[in-house]
Amino acid sequence: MKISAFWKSSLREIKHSLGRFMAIFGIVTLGVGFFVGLKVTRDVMVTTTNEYYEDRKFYDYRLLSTLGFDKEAVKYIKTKEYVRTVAGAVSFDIMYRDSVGNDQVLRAHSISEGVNEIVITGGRMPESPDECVLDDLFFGESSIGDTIYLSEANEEGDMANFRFKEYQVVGICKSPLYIHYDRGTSSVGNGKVASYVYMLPEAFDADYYTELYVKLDTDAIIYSEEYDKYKEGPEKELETLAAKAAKERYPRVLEEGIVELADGRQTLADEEVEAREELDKAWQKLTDAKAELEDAEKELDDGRKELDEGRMEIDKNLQKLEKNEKLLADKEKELEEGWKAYEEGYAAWQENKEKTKAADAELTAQATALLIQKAKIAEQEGAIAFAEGSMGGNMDMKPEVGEQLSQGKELIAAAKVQIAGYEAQINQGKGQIAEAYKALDVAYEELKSARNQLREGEKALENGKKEIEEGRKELEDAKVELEEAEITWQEGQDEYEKGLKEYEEGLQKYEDGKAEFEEEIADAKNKLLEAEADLAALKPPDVYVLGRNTNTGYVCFENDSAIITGIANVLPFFFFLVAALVCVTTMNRMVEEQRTQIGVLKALGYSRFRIMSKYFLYAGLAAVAGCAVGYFGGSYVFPAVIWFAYGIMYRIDSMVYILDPGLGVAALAGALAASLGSTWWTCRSELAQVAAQLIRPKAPQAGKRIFLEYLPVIWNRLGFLKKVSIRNIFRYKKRLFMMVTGISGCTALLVTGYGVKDSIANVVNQQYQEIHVYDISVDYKEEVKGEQLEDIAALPDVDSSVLLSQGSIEIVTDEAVKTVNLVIFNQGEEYDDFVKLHTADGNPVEYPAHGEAVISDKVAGKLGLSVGSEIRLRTEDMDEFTVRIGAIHQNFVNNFLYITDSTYEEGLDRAPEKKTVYINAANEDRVYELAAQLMNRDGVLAVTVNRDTMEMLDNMMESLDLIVIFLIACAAGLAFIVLYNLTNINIMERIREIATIKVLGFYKNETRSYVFRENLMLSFMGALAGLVLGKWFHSFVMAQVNIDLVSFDVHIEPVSYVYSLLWTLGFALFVGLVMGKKLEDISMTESLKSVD
Amino acid sequence: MSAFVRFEQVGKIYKTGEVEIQALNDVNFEVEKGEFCVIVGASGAGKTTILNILGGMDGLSFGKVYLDGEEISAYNTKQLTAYRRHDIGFVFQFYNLVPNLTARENVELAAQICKEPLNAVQVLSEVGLAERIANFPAQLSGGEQQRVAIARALAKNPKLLLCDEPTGALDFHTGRAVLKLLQDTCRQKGKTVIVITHNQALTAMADRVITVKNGTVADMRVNEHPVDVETIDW
Repeated sequence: MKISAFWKSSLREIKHSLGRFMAIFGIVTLGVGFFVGLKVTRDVMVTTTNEYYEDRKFYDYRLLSTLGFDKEAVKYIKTKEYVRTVAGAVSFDIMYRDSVGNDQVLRAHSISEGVNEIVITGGRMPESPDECVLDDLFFGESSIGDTIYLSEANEEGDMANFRFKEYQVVGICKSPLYIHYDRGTSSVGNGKVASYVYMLPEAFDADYYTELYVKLDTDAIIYSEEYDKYKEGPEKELETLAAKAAKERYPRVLEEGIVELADGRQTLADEEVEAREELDKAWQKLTDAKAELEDAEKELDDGRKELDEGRMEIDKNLQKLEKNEKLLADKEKELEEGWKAYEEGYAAWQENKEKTKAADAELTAQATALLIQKAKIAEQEGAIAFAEGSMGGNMDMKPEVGEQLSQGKELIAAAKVQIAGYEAQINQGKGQIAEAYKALDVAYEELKSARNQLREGEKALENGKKEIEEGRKELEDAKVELEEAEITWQEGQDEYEKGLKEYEEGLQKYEDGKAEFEEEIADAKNKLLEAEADLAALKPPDVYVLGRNTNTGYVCFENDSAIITGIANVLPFFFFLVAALVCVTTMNRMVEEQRTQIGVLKALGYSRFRIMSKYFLYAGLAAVAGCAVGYFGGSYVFPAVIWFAYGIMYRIDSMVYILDPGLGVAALAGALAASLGSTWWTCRSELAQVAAQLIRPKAPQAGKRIFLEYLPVIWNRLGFLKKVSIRNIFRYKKRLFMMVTGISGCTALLVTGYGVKDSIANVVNQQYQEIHVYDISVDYKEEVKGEQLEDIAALPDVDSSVLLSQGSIEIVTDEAVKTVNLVIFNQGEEYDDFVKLHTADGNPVEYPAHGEAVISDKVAGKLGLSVGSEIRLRTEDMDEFTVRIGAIHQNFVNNFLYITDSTYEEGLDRAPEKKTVYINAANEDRVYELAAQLMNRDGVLAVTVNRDTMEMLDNMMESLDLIVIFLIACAAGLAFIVLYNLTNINIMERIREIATIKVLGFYKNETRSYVFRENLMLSFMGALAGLVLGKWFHSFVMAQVNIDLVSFDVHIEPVSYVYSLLWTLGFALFVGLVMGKKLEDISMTESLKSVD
Repeated sequence: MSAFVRFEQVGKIYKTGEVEIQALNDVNFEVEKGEFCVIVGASGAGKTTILNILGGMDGLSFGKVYLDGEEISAYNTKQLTAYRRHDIGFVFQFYNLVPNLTARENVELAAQICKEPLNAVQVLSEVGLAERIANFPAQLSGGEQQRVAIARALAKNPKLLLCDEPTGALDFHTGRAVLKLLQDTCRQKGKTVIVITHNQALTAMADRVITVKNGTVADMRVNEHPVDVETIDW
């Protein structure tokens, strides 16, 4: 009955002050959740991995020998009592051609049973030797059914390790050897293993094991001291065993080598003879062809000559023809002129004839006229004579008649004379005309003969023309014939040339073949010699016994889980402290509030324990409930979130949840200690007083002057209400302490979260934008030739390019061996546009001088190296040389060692193979197009675009955002609980004061700022403290984080401090907002109540 | 001319869940300006409710309340706050001083939010605490604390001084000194003072006595010859 009433009272108490109860419950939940969650997360990570390893029978030791191991070796290692399983395995690196055309390196493993068993995550296990299963991190289920083609670019020796050139993909798998996304490095191709592939042992062409995996007979948990201790003994023995196994193999290999060498020699000799015979045959054929060709050539030459002669004759005839033609033309012209002359002559003759005829006619007319005259004269004479006769003698009688007669007579005589003259003249004329007629006849004869002559000439001309015509026709015919002959000849010529070309090609081929033959023979001979030399130099094998700490996944996971341990080591403690403080103040307040009640109970005779037990129950219940929720919630939420974040980098099993009872008990003990302890502490002092004292109100805490008041310069300047707030702050020291602690924790969490992000996020950018500033690196199959370099430089998208050598090398110190990326610069060449080295404080680092190396800070730190240290470098062929460290540079991703080619050459007596070209693109946006162009160049093995790597790493880093968000959420929870609780207590404690203030007429906002100003001030102080604390937390957490491949730029951006501060103040304001309502709800009548 | 303080048929019902409690019913009274009024009644009679309503700390269910012609009962929350701030000076039974402030600062706390405050130091001298202005409440005796409280109320230069059992936590002599201070304030400064008490003896010193019983005014009388407080014993 009593108990029931007691319970009822307690439960009612909880119901009445649910806020307070929830505050304790909340902080305990958060504290326990954080503590248990973070503590258990590492265990979860380790246990999950451990179970996975155990399930997959992850090896303990990997035995390697430079000569491999005989299959017999397995048997006697197995007999050792500390060995649970031994499995021989084969693994080789080989390039395959990916879908884009890049040659990527695959590490091919043989599937082994009992050790390192793979899990098929899609498809099925290989059943025949030409089947394989692929790495499921890089290949999806869609790859099943594809074929993997081994690249042509592979070395013959590497190809020889495989039975087939292509393998059928029948499934995808995950391997315990690769829990980390990093797939390791290789001596093949570009030096980076892209992914792995598993095949049946029969898929390999090897009659020995390349490695032996040993599983020890222990179930010790990974990374545990127990494990480290257990393996010590076996490790030593295994070293001896491995050495023994290798030693036994040595003579066998030697013997095999000798036999092989002999075989090789025989084969070479046989092949040489055969090849030579073939060559001779080819030579004979070529000689025959040559003779034939020569004959043809002669024939062709003759033909040519004939043709030329024919052409010449035709030309000559043509000339003659033309000459005759010209002659003919002249004659024709002459003839024409002849005709013309003849026509003219004839015309003249005609004229003369007419003239003569006319003259003749005139003369005849004259003669007729003369005759008439003569007749007239004669009549006159007769008349005279008659007259005389008639007168006859009368002559004297008549003198006048006689005179007349005499005159007549005289006239007649004169006329007679005249006529006689005329007659003479006419006679002369008649003679002349006769002559003229005669001349005309002669001329006519002449003309006639001339015409005849002309006619004959014409006839001759006609004949000549005809002749020429005929000659021309003949010539045309001859020409056509010639052209035909020419074509036939040309055909003959072409054929000849073709034959010649064929012959020449044949010859070239023969020469090539011969050269090749010579070379091959020389090579083969060389190889044989080398093999001989190798065999002679075949040293007893080097043996390595490699523990798990050489497995990237194993080591990285340890480091990454250590981050969690790092956080788990600081933060939960802090949360616990805050939780305890919250419990103390809350319970303190509660007990004080119920002082009177306690007094009454005491007065009524209840025992101290009885009275206390109510509060114990109250606090205990809150703590136990909080603890339960925190324990289960923390055990689930924390590992889940962190596992999810890390899941991006790791490929393990699904998470195993752990409920660690130890942690539960510790958390419960802690929670109860904090809650009950604080209750006891408060009750104890209260209960020490007598009932009468308790019943009376406790005197309010006295006001006190604070230090600041003695500095009037400051104090007098403060507003009245600020003075009140400041005094209040220092009045409640416990609250000040708790508030500052809680809020600083909140800010510190935020700073840590942001800081972790800052330290990691920038790493990638810094690496690729400040150190490796080149855009593309191109790996060639062989040493890059001058023209290949020019070819690249000529591409329009290429801004600049430089040749160098890249690879990996081991740094050997007495304590450790560390593999780093080796970059060999050409002595004297400029690399500023491609690789910029600087120290951690930003000073540029000179490129290494001869005999010196520049090394990444992370390795230097790890191996304890400083400038001036001498280090031994060991190549993959186990050759060693020593360099001095000239400088240490800041680096973030991977580890590098830079030397010059002259250093390398001096150290190893051989020049480095320069197979890598760094390129800066002219246009950043076209970098992928450029990469594709480069991929298609001859001899290019792989093209790496830095932006690709950057984006990949960036994606990985995004998982960190989740952790930051998680920390912000935790910080918010912490801030809210602390602020809510304290504000609540603050209000409760000062309820009369606040009511009085309200009665005095303070407005809503004035009241609010009167109360909350302190909170804001305290929050601000806490936040400022938190910034400092956060910096410290951050460096502590980062110091615990140790990842091999990436070194962090441990710093916090100023803006992160600002964010943290703003978040914190934001939380404080938010709480103020929520609590403001509570202030309004305070009734002013409270001020009238008595102090209780 | 209407009275300085007037209650007209004021009623007040408190509701607590299903239960209704009639705290006041048909309360009517008046107080003239410059009067020293004592409201007297047994515990639970409703005098504190009257005080709460008159002090602007609580609302009323029915009726009207006037101060200096203003209807207080019509005020909203903000107006009520301003009313408390400027018009009312409050003296609590348990002084309600801010423990973290000195006597002077406690007075200033109230004075700084008023329109025409009186000088804090001067008011403190007037209540006889010139020597103790720099002391914190914890360093003062009960009487001294109540004087500081009165000084705080007076410094606001209010229209009305409301005192809730001002002597309740004090011994007889100190109580009488405090009452003397209140009476002098009323007489010398002409302030209207309303004192709420269960102590019938104090009625003798009042100008007006209002007796409250069962949530209503049982009697209101004007005392023609108020005596000096120093002559009263209880």
